[in-house]
Amino acid sequence: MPSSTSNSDARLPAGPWARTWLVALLLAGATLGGYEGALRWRGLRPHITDDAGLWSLARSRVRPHDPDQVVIIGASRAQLGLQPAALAAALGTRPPVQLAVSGSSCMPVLRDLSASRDFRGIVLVDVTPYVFFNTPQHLDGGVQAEFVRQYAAHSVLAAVERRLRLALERRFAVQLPEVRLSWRNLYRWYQRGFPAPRYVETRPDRSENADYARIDLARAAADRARDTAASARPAAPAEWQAALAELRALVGRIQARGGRVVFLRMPVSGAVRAIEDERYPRDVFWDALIRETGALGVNFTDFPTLAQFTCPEGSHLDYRDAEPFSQALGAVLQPLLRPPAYAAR
Amino acid sequence: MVFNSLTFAVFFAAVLAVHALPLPWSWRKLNLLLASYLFYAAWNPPFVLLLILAAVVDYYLAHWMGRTDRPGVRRGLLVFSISLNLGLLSYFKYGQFLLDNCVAALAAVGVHYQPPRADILLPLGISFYTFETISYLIDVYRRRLAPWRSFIDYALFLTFFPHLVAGPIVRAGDFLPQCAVPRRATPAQFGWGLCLLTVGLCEKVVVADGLLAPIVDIVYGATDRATFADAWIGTLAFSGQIFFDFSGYSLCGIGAALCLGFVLNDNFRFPYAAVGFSDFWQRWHISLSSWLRDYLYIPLGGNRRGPRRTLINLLLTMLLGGLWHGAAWRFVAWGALHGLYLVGQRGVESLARRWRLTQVPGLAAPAALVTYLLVCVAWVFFRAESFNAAGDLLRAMARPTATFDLLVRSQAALALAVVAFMLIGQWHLRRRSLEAWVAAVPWWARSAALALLIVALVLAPGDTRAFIYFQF
Repeated sequence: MPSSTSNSDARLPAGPWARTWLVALLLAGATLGGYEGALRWRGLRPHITDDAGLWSLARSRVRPHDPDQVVIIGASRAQLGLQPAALAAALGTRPPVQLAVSGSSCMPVLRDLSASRDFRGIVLVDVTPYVFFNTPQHLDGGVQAEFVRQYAAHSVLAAVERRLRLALERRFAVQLPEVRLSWRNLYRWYQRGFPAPRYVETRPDRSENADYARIDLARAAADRARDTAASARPAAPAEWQAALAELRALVGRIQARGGRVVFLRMPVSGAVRAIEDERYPRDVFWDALIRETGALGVNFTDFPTLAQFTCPEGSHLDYRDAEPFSQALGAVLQPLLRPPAYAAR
Repeated sequence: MVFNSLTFAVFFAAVLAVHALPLPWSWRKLNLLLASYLFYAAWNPPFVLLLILAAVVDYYLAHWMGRTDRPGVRRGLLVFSISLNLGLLSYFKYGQFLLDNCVAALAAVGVHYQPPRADILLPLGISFYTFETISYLIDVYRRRLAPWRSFIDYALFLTFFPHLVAGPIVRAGDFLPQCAVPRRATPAQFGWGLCLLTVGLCEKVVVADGLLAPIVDIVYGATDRATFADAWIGTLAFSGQIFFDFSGYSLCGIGAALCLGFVLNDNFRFPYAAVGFSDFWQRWHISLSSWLRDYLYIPLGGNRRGPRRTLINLLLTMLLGGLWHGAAWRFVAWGALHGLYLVGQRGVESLARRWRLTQVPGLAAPAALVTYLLVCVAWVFFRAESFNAAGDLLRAMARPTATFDLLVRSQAALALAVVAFMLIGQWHLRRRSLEAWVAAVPWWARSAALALLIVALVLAPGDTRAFIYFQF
């Protein structure tokens, strides 16, 4: 039995539809082009949004059963300070997969890699003391746990969609979240004015470039020192022992499959370094970590080629230093990661 | 795959390109069928098999029904086929619900039984295509429709991607004859189809997701703290969100089909301009309400068996309509409330006739406003996470205060502005169709409006949310 059918030709609005659509597209193109031009004139550039979809794309690039597969995990220091291409050139491997995520603990990702039976590569773990050596709740949950969860449910369709969006984000500044026409943005513009250009930009490989020449460094350094002091709450001895036990198990599983784990302390400077050195004594935290887990350790203070780099705001490398630092780190890592002579035989 | 994705844009462009090739009609139908399976498989490939199974079984059962003249066999085949379809729907959609209620009932009499959770994944769109195939089987049984010869046509009727996941619920009698002759969109169909697609996407992405959903989420995420103003504004915002979300999806589906030369039914006709609840259900989710009317309410006897039986039929139809939406008592309560509204409306109408109020001018607008507000009260059960949450909100809605605890004034102003715009617009257009209204607009104004919509779409915040009706 037919129900009422509409949209038959008799009911459709007549008119010059080809002309209507052509003019509409031209008008829309002109408006969006004008907005894009205005954004660029204000110094805003296309920017890739670092989200779960982009992380999943990177995670899916981790090759199984490849002992040379390098994976970078950690927080913002690794994301800003390590450039996969430069590191790859120094190590003589394919570009590492950048899985570090700003402002969060990498423990969920380490657990994920440790549980992945086909992962046999090298995990480069950025150890940011006030994330890694803090009370246990800092090691759990957070954005990286959510990224791992979303990756587990990641579909081919989601990957295609993210790649298409990535293509737009790389080309158009109008894709920037802060310039979209949302109610929240309108309210922010009303309160604080139109957004200024970002000083950090994400690259398609998920590494980030921070241009500290664009910001007020004195203020940024003071803010960073204050935030570090507020965030640095070292784990109590019992908590740290429990965390060490878990880390030992996680590293052990990766090593048992032939993989390797390298803990890395990225350069810090000024007040941030002073706070970290004072609150997280090396013998209690760093040395114990390397000793108890049996992993490799690279602490920037032990290598003059790494210690020469300075973080403009105390905690992160400028993009101009990220490439030479990555090359220097590669040079430090290469002999450490070279298979032992007996293995080569 | 969802309409508000770049993947769909690429997919749709490819489908349109192949559909435009000078190929035989049967090949082009096959292209649409395969594209529809791909569209569905993009979400969960194994469930395509379920869709194919439903098409094969119902196609052959309908043919068997059509060939035999023995009433008992025909009735048996109908009962079997409906049981099969409803059985699958019940298993996937209501299995866990039934299990949970059995456990609760046993616990109430002191038997503590805890079965393992079934964790049944609901196949997307199963409620929609089950109703479509059941309507076909009943129409064949009633001999209002002959069993369709071509299996490809029948599979396409069930699977056609513009309506597959969330409707409109298409009738075989509307769709299958369109498969008989080669179809390509006329310029008017293509132009208008793209318009509907653009308007639908804007309704979903810009208004429902961009403007209203964040406000609704705040209020319905903390119902215990909602004040009178929070609760009402959150609920009014939800009335807008669900309208723009679902109507947006329907417009996208109708528009996409039209671009391919197929005509689907309207699913919405300015529902918040309804004067009374029977009017509301002739304007809201029309393809479902007409299905319930034709295949449930009328077979139950409709209004032909006296006033008391009419009321029972109304209540039963709305209860089942509520349950169709989701396996939860909240949806049953929502349906029951609408059933009571329909029953109450009959009483009010008989009083109005007795007091000769039906001829009093100027009562339509207040009546429409009362209808809308009562519909909003029912939406509380639809949106709230639990009966407790719904109770929190309904209590807050009954205790007038002017303060906000959850929302800020700018959010309240935004929600009220969008809802006011929606209500005034729908009231203005309540006796017209969108097509008739657009037909009166000059081409250059259409161009300007479309350009505005495209810009709004590109600059929308981009927080992707699933269509609300996908869960059904």
